[in-house]
Amino acid sequence: MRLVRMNYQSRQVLTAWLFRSPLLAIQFLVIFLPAISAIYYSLTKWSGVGLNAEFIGLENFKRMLGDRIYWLSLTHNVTYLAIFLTVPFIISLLAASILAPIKRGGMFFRTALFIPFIIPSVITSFIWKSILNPTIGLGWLFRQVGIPIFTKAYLGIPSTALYTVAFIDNWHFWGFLMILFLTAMQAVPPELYDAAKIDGANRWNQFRYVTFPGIRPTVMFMIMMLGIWCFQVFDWIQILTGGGPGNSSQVLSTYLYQVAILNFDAGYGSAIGLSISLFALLIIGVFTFLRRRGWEI
Amino acid sequence: MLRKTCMVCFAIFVIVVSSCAPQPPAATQVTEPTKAEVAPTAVPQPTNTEVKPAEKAKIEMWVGTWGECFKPIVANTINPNAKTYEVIINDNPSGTAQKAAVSAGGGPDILITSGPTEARAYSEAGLNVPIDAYVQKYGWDKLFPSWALDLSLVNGKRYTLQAELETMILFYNKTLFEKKGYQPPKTFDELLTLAAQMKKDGIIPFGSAVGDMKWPDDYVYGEYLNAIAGPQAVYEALTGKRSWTDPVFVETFKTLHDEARAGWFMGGLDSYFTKTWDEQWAAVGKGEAGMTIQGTWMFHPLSIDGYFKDTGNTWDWVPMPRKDGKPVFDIGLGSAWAINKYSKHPDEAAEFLNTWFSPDIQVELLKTGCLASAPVKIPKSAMADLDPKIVAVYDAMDQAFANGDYGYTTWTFWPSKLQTYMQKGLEDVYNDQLSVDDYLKGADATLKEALAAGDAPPIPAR
Repeated sequence: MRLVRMNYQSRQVLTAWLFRSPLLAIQFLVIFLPAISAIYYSLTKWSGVGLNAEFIGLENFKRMLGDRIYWLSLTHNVTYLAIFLTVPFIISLLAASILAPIKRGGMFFRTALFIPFIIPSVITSFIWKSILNPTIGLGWLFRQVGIPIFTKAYLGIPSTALYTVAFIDNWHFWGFLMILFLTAMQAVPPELYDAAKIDGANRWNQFRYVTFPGIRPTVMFMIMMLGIWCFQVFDWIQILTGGGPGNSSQVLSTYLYQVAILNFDAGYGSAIGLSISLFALLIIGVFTFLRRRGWEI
Repeated sequence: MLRKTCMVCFAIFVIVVSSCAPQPPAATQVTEPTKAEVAPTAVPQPTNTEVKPAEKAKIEMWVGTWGECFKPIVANTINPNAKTYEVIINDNPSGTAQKAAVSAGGGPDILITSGPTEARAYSEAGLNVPIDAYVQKYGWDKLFPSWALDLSLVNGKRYTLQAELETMILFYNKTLFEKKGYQPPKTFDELLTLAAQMKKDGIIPFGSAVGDMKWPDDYVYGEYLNAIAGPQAVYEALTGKRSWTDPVFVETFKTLHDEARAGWFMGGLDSYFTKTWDEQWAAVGKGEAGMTIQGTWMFHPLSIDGYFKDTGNTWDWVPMPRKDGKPVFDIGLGSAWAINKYSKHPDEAAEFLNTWFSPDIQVELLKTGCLASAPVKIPKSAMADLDPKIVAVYDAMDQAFANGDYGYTTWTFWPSKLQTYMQKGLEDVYNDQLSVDDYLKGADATLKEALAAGDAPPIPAR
């Protein structure tokens, strides 16, 4: 084969694209094509079986506007986000601050607190379901010593089901956040702490004026990622409550499952899925806009 | 250097893409469907010598967890006697994986779906072979009752054979009843009185919980509908002739709401929503709960495993009592079987179905205890070796169906959207998050939508 003579720069560019091409091919087949087909199917009436989707335009989206369960699910996603933007952040920042200066034994604590994150959600859910079972779990244990707490099945009460799932998901997640913050904290130059101490800063002031500004990019990035993940949460809700009791812990992804798989209404399910993607894009859009305005995120 | 780079990249690309390539379909290639509705291909008559195994058509089916039940029957009874086909059992699950495979032009020859509703989705998508010609050829209209065959009608053609005829009954802890002097109820009012007495005595009236599976929601409200409103009213509601807001349905769901909030199901709503299937049965086995509304599929597990085994207690059943005193036997069908449009051997697949649904094989299935038999005519003599409790229930069902005394289970006769709406909405009703009136208005709207879209299974006329 005769190769066209290229200059060095063009060859570099071509080489880079050639190395990227396998990954791009996979991305195209596995991510891009299904995404495009999801957009198409969101405009159709389709049972999810076979390929005979009937084009109905924006009917699915019009239906979404009047769907009570959709808006209830969205509210639950926002509640989930509000919980995750507060509780794990506070706990993990606190834990990372405490662990950061510890040299001896620090690895033990870091490992122990990270382990919940690597346990599969199915196993964690099963363990916590048993722990929260009033007959055999904590409730039973405390009853043996005469303390009547954990006597209710919190996953089965509409007012507590979603918060209980969020608690379990938090238990699993905050160790990961702590490790990220710890890593970011270790990149903060120690001279800044020395200077702060000389200026009379206590631990809180050191955290406020040295640590937090130093790890702010990591914090803001995790806020953005949590925003996206909270709209995609599925496995914890599905395993622990199935969106129940009733619809009291229903979120968009579990509702999508119910619509697309149980109701054989994959067209409407695709529309719900697309709306989840739009919320994620909105969050990314906000962060991109703020970054362009000079915010350090 | 550039040439080497290109070759390295190309090699990586080929390795990566080939490792991601889908597996070839397990059984079939995409073919044109045979014209089965005109005339099935004549099965060649065997000559003096037997057809060699290599020439037999391979008929594949995906059976999921039923493999243990089906494999011995297929290996010991069906395959040795089949002249033109050999059945291959694959443990792939028949649900979502089968849906994806068939949509892509592959999948097993025999399609097993969870019942008429899911089967309808396949039929409407043109993924099943119409079976009317096979019904004529094999006399399936004499083997199956007409209501069972007509359940698969789509645009005037039949597509599936119904399997696993089940019904809902009232199981109870017999030892507990004898100890406490309770009488198994014959009417719905007796059931209510008995349940109230149990509550007073500190016994949970119904062992029923949805912590790991939502089916008990359907069992309970389906049975209450047939028992309080009556099968005729349910039929009229499902066919759009009666509104779900009719007073008989309001009474049904208000009764359910009041009982659920009074702790009749599993002792309280939080337990109802979190306890598991095993826990509900363990409660009945130990006598903590007195009764439970469940299906005849429980006969086999109850006869072999630990719900009652180590408790010293025994169980029994009565038909679900109705307001008018007549027992209700709801028709429940656990699965629907069809021939894949992309099967290379639809005629042999039909021949296999004819063998599978024969009374002999269905009785063998009953004996394994894994599955209920299909709704086919089985001579009484063939059931002589079965557990008398199973024979009694089939006898009772036969009599009731012959008299038109049957009701409707949700998973067989409800459109899928209505089933999901009523199950989820019922839990909201229990929690006072949705009023009974609004719940039933929503049921009306959902059913109207399903009927307009043609998504409702055909309900045979009473």
